[in-house]
Amino acid sequence: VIVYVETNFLLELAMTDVITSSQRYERQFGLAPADAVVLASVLGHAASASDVPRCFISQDVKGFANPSIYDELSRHGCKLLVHFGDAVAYIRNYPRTNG
Amino acid sequence: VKGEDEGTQSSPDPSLFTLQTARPRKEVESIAMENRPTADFVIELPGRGIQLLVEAKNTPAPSREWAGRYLRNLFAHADLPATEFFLLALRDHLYLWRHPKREARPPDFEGDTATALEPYLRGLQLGTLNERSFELIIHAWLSDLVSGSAESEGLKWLKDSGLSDLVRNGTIRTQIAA
Repeated sequence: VIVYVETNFLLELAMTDVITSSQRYERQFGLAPADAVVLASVLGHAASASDVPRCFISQDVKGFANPSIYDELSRHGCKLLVHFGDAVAYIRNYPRTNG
Repeated sequence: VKGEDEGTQSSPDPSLFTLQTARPRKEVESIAMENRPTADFVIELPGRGIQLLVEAKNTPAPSREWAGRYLRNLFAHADLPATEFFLLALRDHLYLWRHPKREARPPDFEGDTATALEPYLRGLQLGTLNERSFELIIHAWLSDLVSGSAESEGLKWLKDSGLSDLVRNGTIRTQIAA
């Protein structure tokens, strides 16, 4: 399971293509610039990651309430969660594939 | 696992302000409000409580059903108090629910955003505005709505819903930075 957590480290992953995507998401989803960069980082990685379950945890409950964001993440096999407890339950629902 | 349809917890948000907009805008003041995330704007009447919650997002709405999902997500994850009306102000539509509840249902009234905001745009295209600018324009429109000076031409839905009369002389509180 891949777990993306919205913290500052995600911003450090930002590359040029992420910034370009974030500008599109900012207008498409009405996101604040920082939220758009976070979403672009998650979607960018999810698109290239192996086919494993993944979730994105954010406590910005209003920033990501847009249903189109849920749909976009879902298209990349990624579930948006807003509580860490839910993320723990999500992870426990999947058996380990390695180790 | 709680996803789009579930969840009720919320985290503190210290950046909350209140604006008394029944007075001239130059006299508005900002003071701390309760620190839980709620709608972008809250309109209250003295002694009668919250009449209107407003969430502003500069994003297009694919459908009325999509707007219903949006409202459901906000009710599930943010801290929305009981209110007479909820307005979802989007780039292309203004969606209004009377007595909104958590279930996803299409709005009761709707209007065209560009028509309502035309006096404030002065030729600007809504699609070119960033989120902050869009919120400020919605704030200006709400300020004129509560003061009774908002232009009503083409805004029949405001009258039909009773919203324009209901919020007259109300107080606007906002989470967005002043």
